[in-house]
Amino acid sequence: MSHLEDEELDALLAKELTHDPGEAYFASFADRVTARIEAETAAAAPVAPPVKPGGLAAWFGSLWTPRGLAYAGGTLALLVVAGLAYRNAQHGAVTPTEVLQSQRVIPSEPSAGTSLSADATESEAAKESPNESSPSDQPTPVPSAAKASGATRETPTARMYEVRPGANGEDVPVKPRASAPRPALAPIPGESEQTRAKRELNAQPMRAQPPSATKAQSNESAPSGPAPTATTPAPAQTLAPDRRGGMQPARDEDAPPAQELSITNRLDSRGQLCGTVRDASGRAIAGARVTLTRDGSGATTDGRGAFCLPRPLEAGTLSVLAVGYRESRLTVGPSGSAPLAVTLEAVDPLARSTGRALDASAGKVRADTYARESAPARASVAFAREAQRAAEKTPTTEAWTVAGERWSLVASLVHTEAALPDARFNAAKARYASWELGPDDRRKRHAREAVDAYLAIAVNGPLRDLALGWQAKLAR
Amino acid sequence: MGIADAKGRTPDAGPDDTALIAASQRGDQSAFAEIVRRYQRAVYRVAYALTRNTSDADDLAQETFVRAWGAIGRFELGSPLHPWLARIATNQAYSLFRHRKRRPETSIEPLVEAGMQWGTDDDPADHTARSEQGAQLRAAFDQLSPEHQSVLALRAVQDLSYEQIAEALGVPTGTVMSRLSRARTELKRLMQSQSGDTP
Repeated sequence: MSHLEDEELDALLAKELTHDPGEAYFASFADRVTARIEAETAAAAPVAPPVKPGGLAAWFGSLWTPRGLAYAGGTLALLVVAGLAYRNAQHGAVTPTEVLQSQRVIPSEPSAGTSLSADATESEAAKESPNESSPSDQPTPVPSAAKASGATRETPTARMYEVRPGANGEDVPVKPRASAPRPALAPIPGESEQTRAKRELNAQPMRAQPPSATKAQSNESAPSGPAPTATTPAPAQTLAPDRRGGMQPARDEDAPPAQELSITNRLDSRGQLCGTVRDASGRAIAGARVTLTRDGSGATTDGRGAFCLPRPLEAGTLSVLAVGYRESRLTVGPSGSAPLAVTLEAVDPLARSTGRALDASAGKVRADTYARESAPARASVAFAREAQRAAEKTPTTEAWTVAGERWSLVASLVHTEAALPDARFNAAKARYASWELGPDDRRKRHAREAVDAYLAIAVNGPLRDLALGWQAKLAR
Repeated sequence: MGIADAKGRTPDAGPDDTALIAASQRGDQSAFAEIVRRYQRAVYRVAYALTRNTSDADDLAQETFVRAWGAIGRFELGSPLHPWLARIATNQAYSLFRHRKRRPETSIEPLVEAGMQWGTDDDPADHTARSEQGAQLRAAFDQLSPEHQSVLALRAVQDLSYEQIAEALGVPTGTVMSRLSRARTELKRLMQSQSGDTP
């Protein structure tokens, strides 16, 4: 070996240390990097920075970064809250903040980013730990609208709303009651039994109230004639599946900033803000979520579409959301006693899967591959595409798993020659991405099956090359 | 601009790169995506040379660009982008090695590739000799220090100049020359010890 000159050594090194992963690898590389950047940028929750070796000084040094500062701030806030809670527990004192928080109807559910179709298990988990939202620990429910169309498989835990006969004899979605009992409110020194009972009543959602209370509030909230403050604003945003498969409002530029959610809304005893939620034909909508965006407090409409929640001291935005309808936003203020009448516009889940669709990634209009498929198939395509967009926007193992399941379902429903390879490719892509982000045996098996299914019918081209690359990686 | 050369590398910063970097510094992700497309092969080559593992190379290459996006605001306009990216990749590789407390995993891919080449080789004896030499080189390279590995990788695989390597590694040019010389000497010595040759 002593005869090797430097140039020969360099040439040999260049040969031995070089590997070409192929054009298919680089074709999607920039997209994957961009997705990672967007995911890191969009990560709103402060994440504990990794403690680098080097001791405590190095760890403190790492706090002088935006993420580190956010983490420190979050930790400090938690410590303050824990300290206040400890002090109150020790002294039995009730602060004004505690009194106000106890009057909030749904104190643990923020208005933004909360899945409307989260299953009951998730709701219970949210009650137990309202400040923890770990997507990786959440199940992946199927949207109720997709289920109603018969396009998705029904799983026992994927339902938030049960369909029950409504007042008009039609099926209406009703959210099942949570099994966990609500803890009793802390007593206030000098508080009369009547005041406490009223406070207890205010702290319960409409559907959880006793019949007498529901009846009383329904009478109070029932619209009689044209409501003076009734407004039917234009839909501000549409419902879109979140990365766990639930429905959440799509991003709205006009929506109040997230910082507003942290502002505690001051409530007083000036009464309740009541109203009804109906569709365009005047039918009551049960299970609609009515939320004050300023602090996230709100209520859920009962079988007659009625709701009541504490009236805010300051003017703010009231958001009304229901599965299958566009969100409605209206401004409410501290004054006024007339009930609100909110009308929601229905959403057609097939609208985006028929005819021609806008291919956002290519930035051009293309013919829809699924235009000739059945209505259930097109509905499942719409949900699969939404799940895929959510996964591409916030790539997580769970999000890609949901997208993969939905595309697999699409593949089982379509019949045309053009649709089947597209559905199988998307399923393979999502399954592979899920495995790549969280490699384990189960995801690997699913990814292999999906990739093999696509390759069985794939024609020569860049997509097939890409899938072959996935297959090779999965085989290692 | 934008056409990668034989080393998978795009020519150094020119007007186009400068405009893309400036746009990226203003938060334009599409401009940064174009930078990624231009330099993805070059960065991957550095990543693979330092890790000798496709999975690690993929992670390292992606991480390099993610870090570059986070630091693009501090990049000095007009400077060549390639050494800067190579520096990030090298630092990430060092970090990876420190995190694992050990050297890169030995990949079986070269063996697989060697097996695939066997059938096309006209002279099995020559093929065997070259395979042995390649195996000895890889084994010897694995025993080098990370500093020697990186300087050799940037020189032999990326064909960077001494000045560019110095910029990428953050050391003076003279240090690059001396380190490169010592790395080659050490590599040859290790190969000789493996083959049983006397120096």
